[in-house]
Amino acid sequence: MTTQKPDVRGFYDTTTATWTYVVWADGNADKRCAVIDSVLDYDIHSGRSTTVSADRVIDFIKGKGLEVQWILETHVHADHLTAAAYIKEKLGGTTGISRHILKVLETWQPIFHNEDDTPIDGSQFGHLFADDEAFSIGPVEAQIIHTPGHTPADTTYIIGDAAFVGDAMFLPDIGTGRCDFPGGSAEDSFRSTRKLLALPGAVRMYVGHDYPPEGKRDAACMATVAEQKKANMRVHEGISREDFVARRKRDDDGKPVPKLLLPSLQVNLRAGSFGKALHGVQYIKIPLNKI
Amino acid sequence: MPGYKTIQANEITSLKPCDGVILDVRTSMEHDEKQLGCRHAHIPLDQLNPTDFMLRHGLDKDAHVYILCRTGKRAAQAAEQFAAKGYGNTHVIEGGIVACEDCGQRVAGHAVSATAGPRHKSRISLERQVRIAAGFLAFTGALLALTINPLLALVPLFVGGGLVFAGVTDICGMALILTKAPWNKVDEDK
Repeated sequence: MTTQKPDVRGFYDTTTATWTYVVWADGNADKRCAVIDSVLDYDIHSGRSTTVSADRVIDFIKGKGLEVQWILETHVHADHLTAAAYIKEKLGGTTGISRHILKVLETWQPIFHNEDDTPIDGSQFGHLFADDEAFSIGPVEAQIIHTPGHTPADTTYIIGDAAFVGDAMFLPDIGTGRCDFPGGSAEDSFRSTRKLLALPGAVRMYVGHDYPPEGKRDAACMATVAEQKKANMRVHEGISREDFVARRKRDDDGKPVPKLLLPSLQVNLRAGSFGKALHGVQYIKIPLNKI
Repeated sequence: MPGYKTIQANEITSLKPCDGVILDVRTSMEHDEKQLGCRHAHIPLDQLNPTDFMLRHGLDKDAHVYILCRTGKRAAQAAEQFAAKGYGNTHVIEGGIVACEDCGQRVAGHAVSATAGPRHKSRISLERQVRIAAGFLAFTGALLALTINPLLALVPLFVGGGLVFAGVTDICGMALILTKAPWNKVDEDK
């Protein structure tokens, strides 16, 4: 944990309520940056993908004269497709995710039978982070923390005084991510949130999604650890593990499957690639009666 | 020379979502009554902290902020605050929500259409409250001056002067006081 204060630019995708971040050290001659949790636009009805959201991020990076060093995922998303492969193709950089993705690959391979184009050793990613591994983004020191619960591979990136928590926590009035996906665990989620709330109070916690209550506020992306500790509706100080787990399970019970779950998982497990083509056409498989 | 730029109300439809953010700095009650129909943030001017606002919305120092109020005065004050903190792409939407409505921008809120629910219909607009309060004070002061003590004519004199000041400067002290009244607190749980 350092006192370096990286600059952060957030891009909100209203369709999937996802925040994508560009992180860099402003005012420094070293222009290397990281892109965290990018979005590839995908229309489930037509099966058509577009790059409007990713192009906004790319235009911003080019406009600032930044150089992409890392393209990071906080986890294998189930609600949007990552644009990691597209951004890497356009701007370079190393894709990275927690090594715990190996568990997720093992879980889903018997369902998708995707061994032909989705290596189970995770080699489709440029780097698999070990727990607590330290790295850097240009001159800014960074570290990862394993924060499972939403999925087994959820990871938080601590970059200077900013923490990018993905779906481990949301803004105080929204709470935390669901825990009902395969390998998800409300108990793990509680432990992960305690790890995050143990960070210094001034740390800026950037969330992976925001679902602003209609008419009450606009989408936002950051609250401090101190604010989360005081006011997060699911895990504020004083909430017991038992209460959290019981409420989480009750709220997740019968929750609809995210509409982009099946396309998202297949593409995201390949680091954003659509996989092998058949007669020049790429496909998304829909396994019947498996979810 | 102001530290901000201006844009016309009819230009806001052409803003791209990721260019930045539209910020409304009117009071919660005014915002509740009438607001832009497109995505925007809302923070009353007296609660505004530009640096904090930018951080919470994932905006860097070069991001664009488009500010509006009722007619533009408070937006200009807010824009100066942003400029003083080094945010170089701050814009005031000229004419505020009034101009937005006049030029056909989509607006929402309980003072705008019949789409609002029963809770909203029962609330009297701030402008009507100011008229009622000013009228009541002027009428009562004049009546008491005629019947009890001529010095009480100072009350309608003060109210009249205040209304002229509000009209000329677009700063209405009575409205600011009324927004603090308990019946004007916006229900945050709506």
